[in-house]
Amino acid sequence: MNTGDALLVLALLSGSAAALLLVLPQGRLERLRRGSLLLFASSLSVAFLLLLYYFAVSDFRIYYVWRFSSAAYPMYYKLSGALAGQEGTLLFWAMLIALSALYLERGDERRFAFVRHTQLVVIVLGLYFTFLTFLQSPFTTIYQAYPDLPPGFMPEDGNGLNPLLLDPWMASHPFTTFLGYAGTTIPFAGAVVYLFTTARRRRDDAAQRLWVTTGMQWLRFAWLFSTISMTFGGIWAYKTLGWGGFWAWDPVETAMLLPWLMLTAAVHVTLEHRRDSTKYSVLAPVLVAFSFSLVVYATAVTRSGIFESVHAFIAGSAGRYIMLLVGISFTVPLVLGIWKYLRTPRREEERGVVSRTNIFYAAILVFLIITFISFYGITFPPLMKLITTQKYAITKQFFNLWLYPFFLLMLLLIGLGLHYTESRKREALGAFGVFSLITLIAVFIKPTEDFNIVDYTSFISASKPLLYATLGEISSLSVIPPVAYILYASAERWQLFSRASRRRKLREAGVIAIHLGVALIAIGVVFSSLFTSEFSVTLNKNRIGEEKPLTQAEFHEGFGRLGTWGVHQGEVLTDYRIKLLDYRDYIDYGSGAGSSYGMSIAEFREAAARTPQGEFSVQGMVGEVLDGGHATFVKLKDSTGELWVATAPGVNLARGEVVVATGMPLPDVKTPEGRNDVVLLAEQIGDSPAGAFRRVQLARVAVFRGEAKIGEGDVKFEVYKNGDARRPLIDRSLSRDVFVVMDSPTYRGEMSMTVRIKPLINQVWMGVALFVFGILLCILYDPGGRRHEAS
Amino acid sequence: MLKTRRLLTLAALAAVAIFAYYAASATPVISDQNYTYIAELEWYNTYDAGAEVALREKKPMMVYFWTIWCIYCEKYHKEVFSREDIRQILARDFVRVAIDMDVNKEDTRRFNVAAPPHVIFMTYDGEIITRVPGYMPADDFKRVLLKVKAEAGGAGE
Repeated sequence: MNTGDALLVLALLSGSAAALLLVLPQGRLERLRRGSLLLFASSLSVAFLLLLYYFAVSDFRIYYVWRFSSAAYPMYYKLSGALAGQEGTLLFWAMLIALSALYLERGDERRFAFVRHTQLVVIVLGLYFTFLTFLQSPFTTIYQAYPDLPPGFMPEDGNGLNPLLLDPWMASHPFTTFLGYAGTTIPFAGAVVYLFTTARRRRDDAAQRLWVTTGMQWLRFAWLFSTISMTFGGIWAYKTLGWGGFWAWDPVETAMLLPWLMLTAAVHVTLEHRRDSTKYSVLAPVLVAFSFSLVVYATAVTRSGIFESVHAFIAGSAGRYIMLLVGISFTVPLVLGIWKYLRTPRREEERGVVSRTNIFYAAILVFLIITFISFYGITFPPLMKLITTQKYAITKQFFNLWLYPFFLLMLLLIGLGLHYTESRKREALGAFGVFSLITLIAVFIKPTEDFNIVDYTSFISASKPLLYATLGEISSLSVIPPVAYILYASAERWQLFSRASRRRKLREAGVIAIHLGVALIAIGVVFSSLFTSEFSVTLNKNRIGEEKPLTQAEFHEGFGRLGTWGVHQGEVLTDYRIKLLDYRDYIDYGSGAGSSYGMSIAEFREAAARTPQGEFSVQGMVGEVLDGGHATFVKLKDSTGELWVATAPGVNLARGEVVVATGMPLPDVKTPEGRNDVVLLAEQIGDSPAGAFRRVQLARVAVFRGEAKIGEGDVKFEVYKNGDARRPLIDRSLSRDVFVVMDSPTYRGEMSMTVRIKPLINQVWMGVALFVFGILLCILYDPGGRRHEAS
Repeated sequence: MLKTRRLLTLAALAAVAIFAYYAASATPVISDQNYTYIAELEWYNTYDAGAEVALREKKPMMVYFWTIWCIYCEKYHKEVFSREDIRQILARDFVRVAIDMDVNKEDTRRFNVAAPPHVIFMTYDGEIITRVPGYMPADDFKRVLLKVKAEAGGAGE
């Protein structure tokens, strides 16, 4: 057994010991218990550090490292490989849960049975994840994975990440995701223990107080990181997937949204419960527990292989056990919740239809409906496929169409919730009525069909039923009045706190920032999605300085036996233009630069001048291939220069290929271009085994509208050994992004590009930033535990 | 006394029930075990199934790689494959294969397709005539179809 697996076994043993000793009466073998727990957390932490180390030194004997890393990667991407697959993420998750269990050791709260029981649940969950990690260990060696390999075989390089994942946002995405996911563990354990304790004994003051105080900050922590991780994922998708969207209702994206939605509901309900512990004493813990259940469900969607999505390329096999955990984590809190509900005496509802509590309750219900629709959207197709083998089409239009009305309702209720106090009931209800009415009118205001919220004619439904047609016809302008309402309500609310203490003000600023963030996101999401202008254009890399008008037409290029074709169709002139400023084509060696595969062209020139008799290997990309009859001339290029190589006739090389040529320098030879230069007389010329990180085609372009330049920058097409990646130009401004992407690599000098002008997209990111800032203020200035007064 | 919250709960449950019923009954079937249904045409789900028919009927093959979440695939379905003249050419002259890249990983790997949409045209005996990566507007696509049809006939002799 290797070191890593031994650490996992140690963690399993010490974790089990810690759990067993915890069941003993308090005080017995206390030091042993603490020791076991410490060992549990530290062996998992050391195991994870060991995995990071294997990635840092590119130890390709470890199968997991081989799969997700490559020697040429910069350190950042090497380390991010540790969370690129199921094995590593499970280990990371298990480690975080074990550390959470250790967190519960602090202070003197362990004297309460509630905390010890919560800790027990956390440890058991930690053990479960350690077991899953062990089942599919990240420490498996290639010799175990491929028993036929000769002993001592050492791979030259790893398989590498999918090049699309080589992006700083994506590299941070799994890290933040699992911080958020793991953050739901303590709240889950606390909620389940609380439900169990209070359902059985009805009254446990310590449990009553502690489950909220322990849970609240962790909930916010999870909420914070889920928000950040979804945003990172969104920015990555926007940059990388080429279509310039940040959200596609892909099953995995949606699955990640589910715990976020549930967390949002749980945070709100728990705050109400903290204010008055007789309120939501069942709903709050159940929703809190479900946040964790949905986290596990999201993992199942990503990893089980039952669901299909963009993320499916990382599917693994511990799926069955994850599905089992999904079942358990839903059933337990649900059963306990029902049990407690049946045993809790009904409380009197306060008088009147409109009250703070009822408004709040309505908002929570709307939120739960939104969660259910999202859940249904990703669960129904795979479920039906299992049952009927038929695949049902649920596309993004399905989600947009069904969610939009509830989304509007939620925005209006946010406004009312912010504005409402018992003392200004009439005023608040009046404002709610006015804004709702304006919203309703805005639903019908449509300058053009582009304002339709959903293109319901697409294959959302075969029969295009009336309800779909009606909902699809809603004008996107309807999002403006609720957003205005939230702004107005925020301003009104802020006035209430003009005399409050500094701390109270900061907390309130947090609450307002969160909701203003939502308003900003709403505007950005709706308008950037609906009002993107898109153009296609072809530029020629040899015509630097050329300007082309951007017409609302599509141009396409194919290749193969039929050669190229390209047709403009129905050109609609616009006042947008694009200009090619520069073009370069080079090889990037990454951290593998100067590796043994060959020297750069500049290095060769220097070395050849020093020792003209020597033999050299030069690495470069094939620029041109000329058949000279008695010899083949190959022009090599890299970022340091160009070099002609003469070699045997009939060599078969393609332009763009990265090769290593080995041979002697011939000084002062007439090149095919007619200049006298040093030429490499190569005995052999062939594939570069691994050295290059990527080959880059880079076009520098500027986009104009009328006379004004609205965007400028580099558009890249990168070719890696295991795939391609398009790196668009994104020139941001407050009102819009200019987005230019190269559709495919240059072909016969032509570059086909797509240009998009996306309005108000940055409002989405600004909204998220505000939202995150708000959560941080709440975490800092409302640490929990205190009852806080009604607003 | 009116129990407002109970009423709210019932209203929410009713909304969910209506949604679930409506959504379930209106959601179209996109594929079953043998066929995918795009543009009201039947497409074979695997290359092998299509290749067999192509060889038998001596018709060129159009192998279309797509996914449910791909935006340009949807545009293909709506604006290109469903256009009556194109639909007729597809129905009459081509053996159609639709590879759902999320499901049929084998064929996706076999033809080294990185991203949807992606179309490969082949002769009846499986020789690749041309690839169309990405989206292509209807008029151009029709031109390609006709060209491929002519080309495939020549290559097939």
